[in-house]
Amino acid sequence: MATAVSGPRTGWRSMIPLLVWAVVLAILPWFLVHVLKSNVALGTNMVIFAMIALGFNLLYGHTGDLSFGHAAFVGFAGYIAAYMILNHGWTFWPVIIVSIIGAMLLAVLLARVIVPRSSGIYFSMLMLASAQVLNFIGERWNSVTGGDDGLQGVLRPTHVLPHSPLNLNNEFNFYVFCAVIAWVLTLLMWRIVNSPFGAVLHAIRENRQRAEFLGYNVVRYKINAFVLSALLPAVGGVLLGYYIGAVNPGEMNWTESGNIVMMTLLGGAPTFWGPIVGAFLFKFMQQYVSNFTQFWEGYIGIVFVGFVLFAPQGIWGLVEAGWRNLRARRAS
Amino acid sequence: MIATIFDGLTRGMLYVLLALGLNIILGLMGVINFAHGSFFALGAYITFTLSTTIGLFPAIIVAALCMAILGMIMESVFIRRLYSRPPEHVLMFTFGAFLIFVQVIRKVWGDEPKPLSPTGWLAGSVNLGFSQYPTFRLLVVAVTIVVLVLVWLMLVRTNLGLTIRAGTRDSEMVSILGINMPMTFTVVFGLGSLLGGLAGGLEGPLYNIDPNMGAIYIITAFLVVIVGGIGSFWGAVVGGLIIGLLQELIVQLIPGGSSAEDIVPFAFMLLVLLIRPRGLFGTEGLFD
Repeated sequence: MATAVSGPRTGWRSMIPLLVWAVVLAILPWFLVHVLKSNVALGTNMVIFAMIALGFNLLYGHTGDLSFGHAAFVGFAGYIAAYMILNHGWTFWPVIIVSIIGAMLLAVLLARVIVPRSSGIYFSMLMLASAQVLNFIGERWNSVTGGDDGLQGVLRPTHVLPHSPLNLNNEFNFYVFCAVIAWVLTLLMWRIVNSPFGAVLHAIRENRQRAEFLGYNVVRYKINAFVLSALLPAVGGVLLGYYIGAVNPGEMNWTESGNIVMMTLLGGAPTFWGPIVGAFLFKFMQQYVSNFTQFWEGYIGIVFVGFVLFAPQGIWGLVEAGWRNLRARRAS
Repeated sequence: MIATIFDGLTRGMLYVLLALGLNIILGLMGVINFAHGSFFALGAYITFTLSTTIGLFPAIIVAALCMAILGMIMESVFIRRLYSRPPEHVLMFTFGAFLIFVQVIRKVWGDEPKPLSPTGWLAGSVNLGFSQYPTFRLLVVAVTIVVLVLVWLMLVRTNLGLTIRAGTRDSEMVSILGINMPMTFTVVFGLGSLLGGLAGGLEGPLYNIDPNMGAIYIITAFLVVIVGGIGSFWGAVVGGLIIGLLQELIVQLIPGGSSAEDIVPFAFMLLVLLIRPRGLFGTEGLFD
């Protein structure tokens, strides 16, 4: 974890990356359709997973705890949402609020049990085991979760905003809806990471012991970071349910948690924007490489292993380092 | 009832072999090896391929040796570079390796489950006095016991074992004393992979061979390690046997119990962690 996240900046300049991110979200559908000859739905998929990875990275990249179980929050929120929609006919806003609350409560429970008692790779293992329990419950509790088939027939809302017929069955409308949510949540994450709270998380990541000696209650900070890191995956899980039209237990499998880890590391875990870059690249490769070969996971695996070995700072880490070099050279 | 207990023991024996391989690597090097699940699956597939030409039992042995070589190559070429990094990097590397191996298996052998059944002198059953019992399951028990005795003797009677036991406590200190730790790491990684491949070869004729078998078994092996205690020989043995027994008892004796098959190991792990957080035989402790 050599490079730090760009520190807090003040004034209007601190908003530049977020404005660039808004522009990227705005032109992504056009780029996908006209340049890559793909479709808007891929963009929605990319944005949803960018959210999930961004939330996950609050815990890994910013605090230093590698969770191998964050797919649990994606799936758990997705199941709550699908259950409420299918059995009680709830509309979008109550569904998403209740799903978020449910996933955060799960996060509080897991954090309070696991965080004070473990760290390092044992933390990773206990998270993996916890998520796997949910996966098995999803597979077996047929009456509630639908078993292996999951819950199917989740319909997208047709009037998501009051007094406005925003029909999310239109792929473009759904993309815009997800993109706006993603941007707002990115803003939230940006504020968290650049707040004093975020600075303490970075201190814990760099040197846990020193942060402790400075008087910070490291465990409490880690628990808070853990719970906050479940927020974006929960929102992503609900949107993913609408996107696919179903939830299934495979969403909570440990290999899905591994995919979130892969996206984040590929993009650049020690940076703020890395997870978004990684999720975009991962979903793009998933779509394109799978056109050529059904073994696409193997090729992504090779790229991933290469990054772990030779460039653990990820793509965005390399970009930021290059950018710093350029500026240093210009200054001298 | 007795037959069920025997079934549970044979299943448990597979967990013991798999988890012991994982555990000695974890204990000595602090590496959680996801690719261990791949070695397990590859062991089964190589056994499947070789069994038609050289017979089932020699195929199992050859497959296990192949996995030992593969593990040593993986450690000495790749994983060695990562010891100086944060421990999560090795974890992520082995996860990537696991994904690659699963796709390699799919490419070479296809998605369809492969049938592998005991042939020749391993096909029949033996009269144990109380009931007829399949010969191959007895072979699994016998092979596991022999291997466990050999590993135990290696650990307590040889210089290598002394190095491993000392290195599990403090590998830096051992290397300061002049022991060639990189060499030891490679050998132990090979030994662990051998046990994983052996478990795979023995599993094939008992249950199923499919590309996802590694993903399922590796999780159970993690649970056995957590239950038994990190780096503990007897922890892996006792933990594996208990979990295998519990699973077979619940599946075979309780109506509808098969739906709880996957949950049982987790429930048991929770129980153990609540009572004894370091695991049954853990000394250093999971949570330190």
